[in-house]
Amino acid sequence: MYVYIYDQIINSKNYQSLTAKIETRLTDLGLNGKIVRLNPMHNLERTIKDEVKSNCTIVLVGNDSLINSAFGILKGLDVTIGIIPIGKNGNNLARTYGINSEMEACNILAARKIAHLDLGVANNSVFLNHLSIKSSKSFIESADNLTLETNSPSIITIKCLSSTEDYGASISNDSHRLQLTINSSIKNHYLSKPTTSTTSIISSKFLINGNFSATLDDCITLSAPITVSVLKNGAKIIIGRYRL
Amino acid sequence: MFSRDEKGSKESDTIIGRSVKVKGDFLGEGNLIIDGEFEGTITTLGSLFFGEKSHITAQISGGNAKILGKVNGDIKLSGSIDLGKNAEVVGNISATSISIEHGAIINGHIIITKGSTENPRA
Repeated sequence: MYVYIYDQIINSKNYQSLTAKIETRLTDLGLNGKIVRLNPMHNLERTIKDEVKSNCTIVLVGNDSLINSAFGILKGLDVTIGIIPIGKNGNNLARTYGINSEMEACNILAARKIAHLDLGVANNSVFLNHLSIKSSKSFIESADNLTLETNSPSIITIKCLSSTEDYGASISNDSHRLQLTINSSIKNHYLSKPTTSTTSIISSKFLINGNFSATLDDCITLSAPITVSVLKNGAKIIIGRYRL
Repeated sequence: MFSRDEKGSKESDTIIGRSVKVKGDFLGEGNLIIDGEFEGTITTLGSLFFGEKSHITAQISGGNAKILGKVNGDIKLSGSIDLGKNAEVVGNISATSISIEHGAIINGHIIITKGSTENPRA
């Protein structure tokens, strides 16, 4: 059974013809199901809790913000999740899964290629793509007893190294782990431009402290300290053929 | 020297950049590249590359190593070691072969072993 959750932005008249086109295409593909429109009286958490049943497919119709929030609620549940991105902006997550447009998303739902992907967990929130931090001083502890200290302006990025068994590719030793990358700029007295330095470490858990705020998938902001871990196979997602 | 498929390992390289200080025990199977500061122990099956700006205080076990910076601690390798002209090692070195560029400083014993296949993690 398919449950389509429409983001609030779709209630705007600008999207009426687009949603009509999507609904026609889904009916043609035999993928029609229940449509739930989010509004201030009908919030996401309540809607998902009301609609989720075992083996159902929840299709999120909206942009990154809806997708990130929904995954935070759906994490670890036995539910298959589909995505239909709306509009041209704010759809980086859908693009990551090889879903580039509304119509392509309908075809991808019909093809039903399911991947079991890891989710990153930062404090109580989740991220699908990345967590990023801009900081001039930070302390990082990894699960492998390594302590890292940065003292120059840095961009810290954490990504999940998900397994790729669904594609027939070999399973790396790094599956179900996190990759932390620190890109720092270093002032050089001899050159006018600062040089950059890169640090890359893989672990299953990181604790990051300092004076900064982090963004998850460019839509949720968290303040320090942040504990980052992996939720193994935390989501069953219908993905496109050419996932990034 | 830094072939990804070395010894069949699929583990990624770990890189520690110039602006980062790391403390602790590094235990891995992949290559380790350090251009910053490290304090603790390093044990890996992969190769080691310590850049010119690196400053390492550690007991080190690994495959091959190329050292261009400062190391304070014993180095025990199952492969070869290359010391660059600015390398400074205070500690004993054990490897199957050694190459020392003019200008490198070593303060310790050097032991050249016969093609050992000893597992550094054992």
